[in-house]
Amino acid sequence: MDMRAFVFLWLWYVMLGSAAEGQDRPLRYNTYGAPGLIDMPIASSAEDAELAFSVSSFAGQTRNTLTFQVSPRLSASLRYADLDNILGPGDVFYDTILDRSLALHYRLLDETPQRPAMAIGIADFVGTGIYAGEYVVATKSLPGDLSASLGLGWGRYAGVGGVDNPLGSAFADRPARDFGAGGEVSLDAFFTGDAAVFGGLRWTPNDRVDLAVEYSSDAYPYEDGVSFDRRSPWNVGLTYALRPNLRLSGQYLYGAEIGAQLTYVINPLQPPFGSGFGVPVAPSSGAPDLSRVLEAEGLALRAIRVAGPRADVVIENKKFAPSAQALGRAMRVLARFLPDSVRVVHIALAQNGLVGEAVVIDRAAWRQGEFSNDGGAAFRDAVAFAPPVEVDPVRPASRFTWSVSPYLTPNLFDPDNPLRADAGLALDARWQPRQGVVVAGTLRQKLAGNLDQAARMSDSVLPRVRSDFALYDQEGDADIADLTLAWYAQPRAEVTTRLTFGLLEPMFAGASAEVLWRPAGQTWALGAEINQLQQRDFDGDFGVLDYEVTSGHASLYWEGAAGYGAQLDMGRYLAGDWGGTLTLSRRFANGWMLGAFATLTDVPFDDFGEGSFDKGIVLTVPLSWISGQPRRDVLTRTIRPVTRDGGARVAVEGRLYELTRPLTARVIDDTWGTFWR
Amino acid sequence: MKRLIAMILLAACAPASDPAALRALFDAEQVARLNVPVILLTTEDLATPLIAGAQTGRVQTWQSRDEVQVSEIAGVLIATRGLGHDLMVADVGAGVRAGADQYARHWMHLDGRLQLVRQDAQCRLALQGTQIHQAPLETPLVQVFVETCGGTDPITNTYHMGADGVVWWSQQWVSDQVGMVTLERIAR
Repeated sequence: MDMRAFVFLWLWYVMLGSAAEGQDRPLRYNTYGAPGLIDMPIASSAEDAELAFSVSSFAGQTRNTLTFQVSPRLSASLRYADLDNILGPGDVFYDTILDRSLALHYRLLDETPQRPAMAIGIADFVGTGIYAGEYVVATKSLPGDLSASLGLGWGRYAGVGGVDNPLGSAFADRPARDFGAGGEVSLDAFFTGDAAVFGGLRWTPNDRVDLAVEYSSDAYPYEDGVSFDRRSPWNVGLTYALRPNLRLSGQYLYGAEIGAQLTYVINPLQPPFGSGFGVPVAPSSGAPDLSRVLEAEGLALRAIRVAGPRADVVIENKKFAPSAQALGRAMRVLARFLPDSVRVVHIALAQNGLVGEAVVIDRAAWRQGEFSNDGGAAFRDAVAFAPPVEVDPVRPASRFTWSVSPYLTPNLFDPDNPLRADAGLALDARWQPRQGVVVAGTLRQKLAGNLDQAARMSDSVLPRVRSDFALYDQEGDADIADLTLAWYAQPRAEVTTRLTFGLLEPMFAGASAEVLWRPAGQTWALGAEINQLQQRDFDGDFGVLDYEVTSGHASLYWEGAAGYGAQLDMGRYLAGDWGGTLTLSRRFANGWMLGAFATLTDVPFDDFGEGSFDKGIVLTVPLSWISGQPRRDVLTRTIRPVTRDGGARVAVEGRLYELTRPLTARVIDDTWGTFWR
Repeated sequence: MKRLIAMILLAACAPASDPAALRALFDAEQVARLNVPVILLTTEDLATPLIAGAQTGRVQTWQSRDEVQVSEIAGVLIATRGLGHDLMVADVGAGVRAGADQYARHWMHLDGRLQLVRQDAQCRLALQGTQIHQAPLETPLVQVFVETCGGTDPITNTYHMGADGVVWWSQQWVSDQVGMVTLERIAR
């Protein structure tokens, strides 16, 4: 028996023969930024919702990975690799490859005292395929702070010691793959070709130190002999936690190279400042009037009517990320001002003149709720939702607002320079002459940055609706990012509309009309939007170019349990192409949102260019989560591996689904824990 | 209102992270001049004076200028606001009284999903002895009670209670992240 077979048999023996130890160590991320030992995967998963950013490098192979624990069992890794000296299929030599890849890891079985955890994974299935491989792997905790993993791999994971595919002759041949333009999914290659065994041990004596040794079945077929000389299948790695969420790793890889890795983890479900700072309204009395006290709380009174035992109130929340917190604060203020004869209060939230469902609060139950032993559960049970009633609006107290704030516009993954950015100051102004009418604009003055240094010009064969972004960055000094007049209306409680005119976004001007039907109590909503657009001049002023287009979409929105959601948009895009966009997302009650989208249109992959079709991820981080301070603003970034012209949509402000979402009973209910906050 | 302004000015002079310096500001003369109920709140990161705010039934809320609120019933902490990982609500269990046998208590916190999470424990209250408490205007004799809740890694709260039921000093658990908070009564 050779040593390799002995090690595998021994690993299998200890995995089956040892009782599980209750280890509670953080997940280890491998050099691919995925759950793993050093180069190989393991069957464990991170805590639900964990986000890991990792950078690893050895022998000119640098991998930058974002891994999201999508659900307790499923994680997805998005990788951007900078690879030097690669010998591709057909012995084609590449000085450098900038490779984007996506990997999925699913834990099939949880670990029990009798059995290891098991996971299945697919690496690099929409990229060039340079890392393409599939695996099943088992991991078991052992006594002595050890854990053992043993797996069977295909594709890249079957480079060393490969044997005939145990899945049978139908899976015996793995189709060849050229690096191509990427973007295409090669389902027919999954679990095909030879298979090979890999495995290893992990030792975590304490919270800071994490040592691993593994047998890697990856032969590094495109790197061996060009970027480094692989001499051994054995790897060792030491990870040290500089902070609980920041880990530094050093590895000795393939008997040849030293590698280093930095991994940073963050979890939207673990806010650094807990429920946040700030306190409810001071309970002293004698304040001048309701509107001003509400305003001091960050709430604007939009309408009020008191009739007998009932009060109807409409509030605009300008301060609190959780909707229920705004309602709780409003109720505290109202309780001080409403006459004792009022026994029931209907409070609805409003935004841009659109009003959401009303929360019906029994005043006596509210009084008992705050310090009740059940944490206000009985009070919550007594709270109902009702359609908003029409109440004469109060003239807005503060109709004009403005702010100056720093901005940062990064452009990731430029083939010549993966990190470009401009930074400067943005002047935002907003005037609401009457409820439902909003005039808003953003003026940007760049102070520093290198976006204008992008030398690569568009080679697109489509109308250049997005790929001329470098020209927009190069021309002009101060830019009017947007300047619009918008009119929001609500013909029925469940139907909202928007009309927007002006400079809609940095690249397009025109008119945009939208309607949204969001039935109360449903998990879905339907919307439609039509836009008549003209491309703006590169200098960021009022001028326009010749290109005109009519675009628009019908949209289906759905939000299921645990914050998982989907959005399907079907229609015409900026380059005149027809198709659809599917967005899958996970939202958290605290305001975090992660999503991934893909757009397929009638533009052939070859005409689209690099990447074959438009896709990317969206990340929204609430600033209240970062700072602990009550505030509503969020940081949203859409990250595309490459910006092309197919499948592009106009980026108009105030789209109705997101605008009215915080006003809904569902969101109020999801954030209810903050009502007494 | 004058008293509030005086206290705020007083507190503004004290480094918020130095409880000893803050405590030293509240000498007998100052406290007599202020003539309002005051407690000093100290956590690992913060020291701030609080004045009495709203009374809702049995619940007394104390408020600082630093946007911190605590609420208590007869000296037992039942809620905090503005500390970050706040105690959303707790019950008082048996309260601070001699001879309380084993009793149930619970604490509720908000998790990252904005849901209230309840933590339950069985508690015992033991009288550890008596001592003289040094307050600026009086030196009451206090009984020292220690409340122990839970089994392994228990929550341990300490109360110094005068004969008239005033809790002059206490150290009570808020949350895993905030840890313990010390509440010292300066003036009744």
